[in-house]
Amino acid sequence: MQARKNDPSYRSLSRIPFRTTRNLSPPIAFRKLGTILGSNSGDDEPCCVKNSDTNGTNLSRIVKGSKDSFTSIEAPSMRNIISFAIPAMGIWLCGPLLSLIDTSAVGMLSGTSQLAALNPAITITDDGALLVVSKEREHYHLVMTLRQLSDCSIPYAAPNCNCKLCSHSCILQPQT
Amino acid sequence: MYTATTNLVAAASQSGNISQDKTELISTIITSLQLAMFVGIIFGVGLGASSTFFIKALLGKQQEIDINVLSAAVKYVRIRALGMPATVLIGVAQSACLGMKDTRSPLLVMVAAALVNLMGDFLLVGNPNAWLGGAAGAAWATVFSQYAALAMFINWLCSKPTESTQGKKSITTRGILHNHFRIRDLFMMPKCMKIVKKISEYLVPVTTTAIGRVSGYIAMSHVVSCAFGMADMAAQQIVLAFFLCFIPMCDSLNLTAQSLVPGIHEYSEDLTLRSKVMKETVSNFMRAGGIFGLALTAIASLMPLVSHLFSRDAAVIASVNSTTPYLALFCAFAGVVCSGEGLLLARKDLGFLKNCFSVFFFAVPYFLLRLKTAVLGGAKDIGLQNVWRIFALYQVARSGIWIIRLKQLSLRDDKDLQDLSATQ
Repeated sequence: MQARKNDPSYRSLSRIPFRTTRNLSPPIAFRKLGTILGSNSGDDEPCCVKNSDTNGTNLSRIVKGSKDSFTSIEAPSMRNIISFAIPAMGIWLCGPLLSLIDTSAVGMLSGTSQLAALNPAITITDDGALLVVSKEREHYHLVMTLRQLSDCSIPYAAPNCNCKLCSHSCILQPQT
Repeated sequence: MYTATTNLVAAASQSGNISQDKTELISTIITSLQLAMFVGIIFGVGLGASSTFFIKALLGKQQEIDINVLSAAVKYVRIRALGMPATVLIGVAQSACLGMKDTRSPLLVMVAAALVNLMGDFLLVGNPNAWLGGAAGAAWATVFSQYAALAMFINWLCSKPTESTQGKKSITTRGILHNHFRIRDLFMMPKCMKIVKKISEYLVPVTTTAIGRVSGYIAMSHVVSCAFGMADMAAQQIVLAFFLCFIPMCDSLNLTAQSLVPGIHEYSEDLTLRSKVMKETVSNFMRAGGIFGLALTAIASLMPLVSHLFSRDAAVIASVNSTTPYLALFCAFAGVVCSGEGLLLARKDLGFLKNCFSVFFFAVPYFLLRLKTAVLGGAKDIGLQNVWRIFALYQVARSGIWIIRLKQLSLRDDKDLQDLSATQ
């Protein structure tokens, strides 16, 4: 363990601000990030470390390394970016599609004045509800991704955000 | 409130996993649900009571507010107000599931609710009764689907967990409240005030962000309702419903950049390598944004082919179709804008983004309100397409600003590297 601590590449990793657990080793966290979206497998494997070619990990493209060292970084390929982004759409498309169906039903079955009434009415109900409950898509999404990445015991906070929520953020800690 | 629930449930879930004691987790979920019921009732009553005031404010002081439109809009808001407790409760239950890493259950419940809504629409919207059909019918269908979704959620959380569920590897929240929660508990005041206090801490920061998010849409709705005729209002509803389906597609790229890029930005072992990798990453994200943009443009271009599925009124269809070039232009740049925004967020260029959004917050409503003044002043040949032209130009401007800023940051990295090598 002391050797790991003294390894400069390992120390450098500890500055990478992915939120992860205090108890989970960084390699596991990086391995898991690749499988976070669309995969709810509840990976209960023992904390073994695999290299970047296992499990189709996305982040393995970014930080390559073996069990005890991280030596390099690599840009995520376009394919990685797209395969990461597409599953995120599914959950959030449900609401807008529902609204589209409502609009179509009123427009086709009730006429123009009823359809025209929907415009201010939906603005007030949906945007009003948004203000009251503050449904923040980014925070939600990142809750899912980062929670599955790590078993962080500190309340989640979106990275790169200055809001008060982020005062709770947990920073990657090397396993000691 | 949703964000707070997710965070607090996630924290309680984790500590419950460690200690095998689920008391805190269960208490957090129940308190969140009770608070949601309370907030939902208050909001529903407030919305129902002030519906006429808000609708009139949005429609503006135009001389000829169509009484049918006003009446239908007020009915819609009042009926939807009845569903507000369910709206907030579903959101909280969904957030609690996400906090416990269960993404499957909320998706299944939402799909089931969508089917109920669809059936309700076709059963009710065609009804000639003013309180049952038309926009009111759509509102009833939404309210029914929300209560159905709520019942499914409560049933899911309270049902007895089966052996197969317990033994399954996949994460599920089924039965988490079994023997701990009854429906009547929803109507009781939360017992754990510590959790209520924790949730209320999230209120101000997140609500402030949400105000910025909805202000553009409110301004847009006000201008269209106030300055244009009924056909344009109906067309705006169709275009907006179509447009809102694109938002999650765009946001996913932004979030991907926020999830993947900070690791590169913070890598400090080899600055030359970091600079090279960052350039390649920016290039790959821009290319991915271009592909997303092309795909979205292709979908947006289909609007004239499907617009007849939304209205039988030729004037409405013509108005919808007139916005297609601008919607397509907006979509063409959407991928690049979202990639760029995500990259800037990932690089923590928050000061720059804050300044830009402060300008946009005032600039977009300013141009929209100028349009309203022009129309009310008697200008002709101004229609819905002009509103969407402003939005499209806003998008083009944003993409240009993000690209220039990313280039500037890249040049700054190069300069820092040169300075570093010079000092060595």
